Amino acid sequence: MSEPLLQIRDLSVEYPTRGGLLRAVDGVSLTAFKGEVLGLVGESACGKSTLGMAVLRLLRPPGKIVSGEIEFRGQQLLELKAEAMRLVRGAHLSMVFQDPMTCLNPLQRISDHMVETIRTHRPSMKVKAARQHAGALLDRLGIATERLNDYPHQLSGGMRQRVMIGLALALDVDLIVADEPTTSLDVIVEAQFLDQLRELKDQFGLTIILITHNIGIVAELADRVAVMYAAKIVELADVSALFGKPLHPYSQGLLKSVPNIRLSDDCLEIMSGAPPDLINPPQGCRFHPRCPRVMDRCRSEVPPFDEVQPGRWTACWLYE
Amino acid sequence: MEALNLVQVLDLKKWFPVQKGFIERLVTRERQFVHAVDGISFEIKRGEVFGLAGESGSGKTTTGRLILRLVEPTQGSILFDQVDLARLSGEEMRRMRRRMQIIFQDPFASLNPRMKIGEAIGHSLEIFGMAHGEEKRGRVVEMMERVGLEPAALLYDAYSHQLSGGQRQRAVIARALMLNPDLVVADEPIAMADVSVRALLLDLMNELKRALDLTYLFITHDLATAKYICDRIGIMYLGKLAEVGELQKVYGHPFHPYTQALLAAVPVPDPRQRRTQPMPPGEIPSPINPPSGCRFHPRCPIAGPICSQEEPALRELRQGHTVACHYADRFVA
Amino acid sequence: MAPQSSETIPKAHHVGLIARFFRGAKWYGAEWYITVVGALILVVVFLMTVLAPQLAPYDAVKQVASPFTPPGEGRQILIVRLGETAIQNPADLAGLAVGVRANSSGQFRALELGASVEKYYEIDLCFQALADGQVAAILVEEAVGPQFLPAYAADLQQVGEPFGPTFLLGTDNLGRDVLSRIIFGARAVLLVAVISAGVSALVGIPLGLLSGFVGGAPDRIISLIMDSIYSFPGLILAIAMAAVLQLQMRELLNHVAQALGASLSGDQTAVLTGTMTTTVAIAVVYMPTFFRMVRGQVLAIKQQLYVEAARSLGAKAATILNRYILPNVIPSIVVVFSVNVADAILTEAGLSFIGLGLPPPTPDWGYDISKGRQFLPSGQWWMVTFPGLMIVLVATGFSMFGEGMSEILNPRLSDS
Repeated sequence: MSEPLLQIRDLSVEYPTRGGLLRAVDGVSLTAFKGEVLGLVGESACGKSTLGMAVLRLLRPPGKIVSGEIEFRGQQLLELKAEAMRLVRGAHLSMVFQDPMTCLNPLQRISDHMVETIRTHRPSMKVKAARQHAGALLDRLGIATERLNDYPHQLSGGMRQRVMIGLALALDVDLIVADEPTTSLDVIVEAQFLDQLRELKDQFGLTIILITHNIGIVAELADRVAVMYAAKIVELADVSALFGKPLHPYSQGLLKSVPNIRLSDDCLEIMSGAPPDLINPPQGCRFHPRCPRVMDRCRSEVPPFDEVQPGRWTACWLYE
Repeated sequence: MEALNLVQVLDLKKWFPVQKGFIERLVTRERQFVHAVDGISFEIKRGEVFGLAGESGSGKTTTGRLILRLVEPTQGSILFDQVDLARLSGEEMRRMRRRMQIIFQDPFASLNPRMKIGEAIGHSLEIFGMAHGEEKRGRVVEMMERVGLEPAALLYDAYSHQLSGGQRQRAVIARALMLNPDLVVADEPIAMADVSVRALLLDLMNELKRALDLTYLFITHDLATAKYICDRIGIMYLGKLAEVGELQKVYGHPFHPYTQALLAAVPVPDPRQRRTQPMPPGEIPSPINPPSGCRFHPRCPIAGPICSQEEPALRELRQGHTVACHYADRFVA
Repeated sequence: MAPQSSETIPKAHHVGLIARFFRGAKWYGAEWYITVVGALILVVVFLMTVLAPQLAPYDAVKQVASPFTPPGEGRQILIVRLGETAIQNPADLAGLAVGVRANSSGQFRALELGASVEKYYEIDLCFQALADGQVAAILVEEAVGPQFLPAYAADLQQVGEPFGPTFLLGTDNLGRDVLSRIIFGARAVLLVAVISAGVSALVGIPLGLLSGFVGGAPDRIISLIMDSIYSFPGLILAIAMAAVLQLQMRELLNHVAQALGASLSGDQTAVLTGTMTTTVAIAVVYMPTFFRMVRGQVLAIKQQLYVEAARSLGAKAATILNRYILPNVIPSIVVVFSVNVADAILTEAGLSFIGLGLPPPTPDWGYDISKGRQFLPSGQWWMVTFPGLMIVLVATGFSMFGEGMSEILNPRLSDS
C-alpha cells in the first residue's frame, strides 16, 4: 500500500451569488495515494471541478476556501503564501483542463511555451537544454518533431491535449489533476489519450485525480472512485467494488442510468428529480428528496461519511 | 400506396469553399474545398429511427442540414417522399418544411431569447396559418404537457433563460412536433443535456415516435446512447458512409475496421471489461485534402495496396448490412 | 403522458420590468445606481422642459435686472439724505425723482415703484447727486452701494432693509436672468437633440436592418454611403449641413405654412427655420451610428442558431426579420439612442456656439456660452459656467441612463 500523497480534510468552498451564499464544496475529505488514479465522478454542478481548482488554489474570486486543509507532500497548501504556492504548482502539482485551446497561448509556439514553463521553475537550465527536454517529451507523447514549432491552432484537439500533459510532465510533477480531460475529444482520440495516460502514469509514477462526469472512462482508468453529489462525497471505493456493488442509492441510480454499449437488452433507468439548489440545500441527507430508499432519519440528520465496510466509505443512513 | 422509403439520398455531396486571405488568393491558383459530405447514398424507411453516427468532421451534421435543405447541396439528390427537394423553388421548399423538422443540439442557442417559450413552440402554427390566438395557445399547451413541460400554462409565458437545460430541450422537441411532421432530424439532441436527463429525453423521443407516427434521423457521436433509440445506423467517416445496417447487427458484427475501432473505443462502465484492443493511430485527417482511395486507409490495420487507389463502394455483405471496404469479407463469419 | 421529470420552475420566476428595476440595487450593483442617477437627471430635465413657464422665475428673453449681477445677488438698497423722514421704505418713492446708475437695475425697480428716473453713469456721481439734493433718493445694488456710504456718511443714510429679487444664477450681459434662460434653454437643446436622434434612428435603423439582412451588393453600397458620412467629424459635418440647409429650410417652412394656411411672423420663421436646420443637420450626422450598430448586430444575429431554427420552421424572411432579429437588436438600440442624444446635445451646443443654431434671443445653452465667453477675463464667470454645467449634466444623464439600461434590459441568467 503506497503512502498518501494528497490529503484533503473537511474542505469547504463558498461562492457569494445574487441569490445567497453557495457552498460548492461542503466538508469534503479525500486522500490520493501515490501512483494511483483516483476518479472523481458526479454530474454537472456537483462541485467536482471546484474541488479540483481548490486543490491547486486556482479558485476564481469571489469563490474561496472557507475551511479545511489540504496536505500535499507533507506541506499544508492552504498556509502557503501565493509565491510559495506558485512554486508548488507546476513543479509538483499540475492541472489538465477540459478545453486545451483556451489554456494554450495562441500566440506562442508550443515548444516555446514548454521551454518557458520549464525555465520558470528551473531557472538554471539553459534554453537549449530546456528545448531538448521539451522535444524529447513531446516525442514520447507522439507529437512529431516537425510540429514542435507549431501554434496551438495548427494542432488537432488530441494533440493539444497531449501538449497539456507534456507541460505537466516537463517538470516531473507528482500529482496531476485532470478536469474533464477528454470531454472535448472524439471517442477514438479519447481512447488513445487514456492509453497514453496509463502508460505515462506507469512510467513516470504519476498520481492522477481524474475529474469527470463520464462514468465509462472512470471504469477504464481509475483505481479508486469517489462519487460526488451536491457538494459532498457520497461514496468512495475501489473501482471494481463500486461498479460491482454500489452502496449509496445515488451511486446505484447513477450507474443504472449510464448506457453500456456491450449489453444488448438493457434499459436505462431514470432517476427522478434533479440535483438540489446549493444555496439552500435540503435538510439532512441531500439526496433524500430523490432517494428510493429514504427513511425518516434521512430527512433531518446528515449522515456521516464513514468507512462502513473495509475500504468502502459512504454517507448513508442505510449503513450506519 | 405510401412508399417504403420516406427519404432517399443519392450521391449527396456538399463542398464548402475555404475562405482564404487576400494574399493567399493571389498566390494559389486552385480553390480549396472542405469535403464535408462527399457522395453518400442511403434511405430512411418510414417509421424507423435511422442513426447517423460519426466523429467530428464526419459530415453527419451537414447531412442532417442537407436533408432539410437548410444548406444547399453541391451535388446529388434528396428525395423526400419521392419529391426531389433540390428541384423545389424557395417558396415550395418553405411549404415543404411543414413535413420535416429539426431538433437542434444546443437548446439554448436554438431558442429565441426574446420570445416566450409558448410563442416559440407555436410559431410554426402561425407561420402556416393553422391556428391563432386562443386555439394556438391551447394546442401548444397540449403539446407542452405531452413532452413533460409542466405546469404548461405557467411555462408558456416563460423565457428560455428561465428554464433548465432539460426543459429547454423538451421545448425544442415540442416545437419540432407542433405541425406533426413526417420526418424529424434530431441533431445530437441529448449531447448537451445532463447525464441523468438524457435517459428521460430518449424515453420521451421514443414515446413520441410511437404516438405521433414519426420517422427520425438521429445524428449522434455517442454510439452508446444510439443503441437505445436507433433501428438502423450508418457510420460516417470523413464525408462518406463506412457501414450501414440494423443497429444490433452492426454493433454485434461490425465489418468495417473503422466501425470496429469506434465500437471498441467507447468506454464501458465496467472495470472488468477494460479495452484491450489497440486504437488506430493518428487522428481524423483534414476534410480539405482527404486521403486518396479509401479515406480510412492511412490508419487502417488491414489496409492493402488497393485501398489507397480505389474508393470502395458500399456493398451488401449480409441482408440489409452494407459496408464500404475492400477487405470486409474476411470478417464475414 | 410523457415521462415526468419533477423539474421545478427555477426559483427566479419571471419578474416584470418594474420589479426588476427595484430589485436592481441588490442584483446589479453599480450599474443600477448609475442608471437611476441618470434617470433622475432626465426626469428633472424633462420637467424643466415641460414646466418651463412655471419653473422659470422670469421671462428668458427680456431684461429683468442689472446686467452682470453675480449669482445670488441683485437686491437693492434705498439711500436717502440724513434726516429725510418722508421716505421710509421703497413704496414711498412714487412720483419722486430717483437716482440710479445708468443701465443698472435700479432703473427697473424705480420704475416699478412709480418713480421718475435720473441716470448717472458713475456710482460716485449718484451718491453725489443725492448729497446735493438733485434727487430725492437713490437705489443702488446691495453689492456695490454700501462701499460708497462711508464717504458720505455724514449726509446720507440707508433706509430699511435691502429689498427686491435676487437672481440665483445671476444675470447676463443684457440683464436677463441666467436661471430662466437655462430653464427655457432646456427646451431648445432637448427638443433638437431628441428629435434629431429620433430622425436618425428612424432612418438608420431600418436601413441597417435591411442592409444587414439582405447582404450582397445593396449592403455594400449603402454601407459605403454610410461610412462616408461617418468618416466626417460630426461637428464639422453638422456645420456644413446647417450652413447649406438654412435657405432650403426656410423655403420649405414657407411652403408648409402656406399649405396649412398658417401665417408666421418673421421671428417665428427664424426660430423654426433654425430649429429645423439644426435638427436635420444633426440627424444626418448620427444616422451612420445607428446604421452601423444595427447592421453589425443583424450580421451577428443572422448566424445564431435560433434564426436557423426559424428558417427550419418555414418562416418567411420578413417574419424572421421582425420576430427573430429585430427584438434582439432593440435593447442595444435603446442604449445607443440614449448615448446618441448625449452626443447630439453637445453637437447642438456646438452649432449654437458658432452661431449656426437657433437664432437669438432664443435661450440656448451653447449660444449663451458663446456670448458669455468674452466676459470671463473680467471675472464674470456665471454666464458661461451654468449653461456649460447644464450641458455636461444632461449629456451625462443620458449617457448614464443609456449605459445602465443595457444591463437591465437584457434578461440575464438569474443565478449567475
